[in-house]
Parts: sequence; structure tokens; C-alpha cells
Amino acid sequence: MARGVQDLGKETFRRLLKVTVNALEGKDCKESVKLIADSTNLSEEQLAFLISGMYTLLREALRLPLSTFKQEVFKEDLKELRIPEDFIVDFSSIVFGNRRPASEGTALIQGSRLPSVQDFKWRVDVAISTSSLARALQPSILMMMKLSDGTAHRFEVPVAKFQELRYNVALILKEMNDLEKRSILKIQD
Amino acid sequence: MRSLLVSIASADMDLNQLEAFLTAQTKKQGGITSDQAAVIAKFWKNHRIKIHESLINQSRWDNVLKNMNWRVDLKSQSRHIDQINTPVAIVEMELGKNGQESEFLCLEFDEAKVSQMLKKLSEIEESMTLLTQTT
Repeated sequence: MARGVQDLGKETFRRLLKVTVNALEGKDCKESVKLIADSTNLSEEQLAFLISGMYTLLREALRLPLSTFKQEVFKEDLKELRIPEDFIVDFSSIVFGNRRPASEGTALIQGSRLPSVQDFKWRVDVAISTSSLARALQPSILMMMKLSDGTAHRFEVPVAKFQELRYNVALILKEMNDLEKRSILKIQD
Repeated sequence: MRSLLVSIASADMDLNQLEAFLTAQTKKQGGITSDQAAVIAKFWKNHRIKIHESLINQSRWDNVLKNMNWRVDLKSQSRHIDQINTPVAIVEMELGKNGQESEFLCLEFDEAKVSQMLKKLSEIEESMTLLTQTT
């Protein structure tokens, strides 16, 4: 990538950088890359080298926490890679500038994870009478959860189980709050 | 005898109703003896709650939440981020129908999602409290 970057014009470099940042933020960049390919004399192979190199460089840089990763060190590393001074400034402004939160947000979403609850609906029913009970008068909660993996689950929760569920959810929240207060678990730099 | 127990269970009789019902049965021609009535009364006192619960379960046709387990992890690193340091809750729910194999649902919650869920559960609790006050 470094050799390829040296031969690039500033405008083309910035267009490629914009595409790379968009890709890091999870956007579809096929059209933008096609436009760059059509308007420059770069071959498909050169484009692939440049974009994948810039993507890898930025992804690795964005992985590191700002508390330990210093801008001067980053600039020095890029100089060693023989990246032109003008371009170093652009790379640096992405890693240490105001686009960082968006990239970090995307990185968090991209991480491997279990499904989470996207939508939660409920209904409280009272069984008045059933085929085996003349007078039931028993409340029951019907829940429907739509998950982030696209599946939906419907289930009934008896009152006793509901109280247990509510208690456990409250306990989880308390544990999470406590965990954030415990400085021993904050990884020290 | 079976039909008597079915009648008692179906009406979910309290002790006063039970006494009146059994007294009427002892006075009936071809009814039950007072010893039998005493045995039925004792049996009902001991097993009323279990039987009622069992009969309620017979009218549950959806999956039922049988059990839940959870743990709280501290996310430390990922492929994309070197230091995350945020808590995450992993919740396993056991859902199943009576007499059938359960399915296990494994979910992930961040703090905001747990808080949201607790809010919804509090709404449900509130609606049930209102329900018991009005009936």
C-alpha cells in the first residue's frame, strides 16, 4: 500500500480515504469505488491494494484506546511506512478527530455477540374459566420477544415466575451498576 | 369418588364450601360415609394448591417460561476494539410446554437494555396490581 500511496494525487487519496472510512462505519461503498475506478487510471488490483491497506491500517489504529495511543507515535509509524506527510495528517485526523465515535460505534456493533431483544410486547390475561376449572381467575402474562437475529418467541409467564424474572432482572441491573463502580475491574493503563 | 374430587377441584372449593359439599354427600342416598368425607377433606387440605396449579397448567398451550439463568461479564477486548470494559449480561431462558423438551434462549443485554426490560416488567407489575385491586 505504501508504495501505491506515494504515486497518488491528493484528491484521489482523499476520495479513497472517504470510501475506507465509510466502509469502517459499515456503509456500502461499491458505487463509490466504481466511480473512483472509472475516473482514475488505477487498475482494479491497485485499488484493491490501496483500499484494503488503508482499511487495515485504520482498523488497527482505531482498535487502540486513546488513553495509551498517542498521535505523535502514530505519525512516526506512518513516516516509517513512507507515507507522504500530507496524507499522514489526513490519516491522523480520522484516528484522533471527530469521526472516531462513529467508527467506534460501528466496531462495537460488529463484534461477535449473542442476539439481543429488539422489541418486547406483553399482555396480561386472566383465565376466568377453563375446561378443567369452573372458576380459575388466574392471571398470566403473555410475552413476545423479537430478537436482533430476526426470530420471534412467544411464551407465557405464570405470576410466580414473573416475580422471579422481575427480581432477577433488577438484580442483573444492580450487578452491572456495581461492576462499573468497582475500580479494580477497570483495566488500568 | 373420582367424580366428587373432580367437582371439588373444578370449583376450587374453600374449606367452608368443602364442608357443606361433603355433608350434603353423606346425607345423599348411596353417598359417602363420614369417614370417607373426613379422608377427602384431609386430602383436599393437603393437596389443594398443587391440584389447582396442575389444572391451571392443563390450560396453558403456549411455551411457558420454566427457568432462567444469568451471568454478568465484563467485555474487555474484541477484534475491533482493544479496550471495551463495559458490563454485559448473558441471560438463558428455558421455554417449554408441559411434558415436552425445552428450548433454551440465550440473549445478551447491555445496561440500557436491562434497564428497558426492567421498566417494561414494572409496567406489567403495575397492571397486575390494578387488576387485583379492582377484582
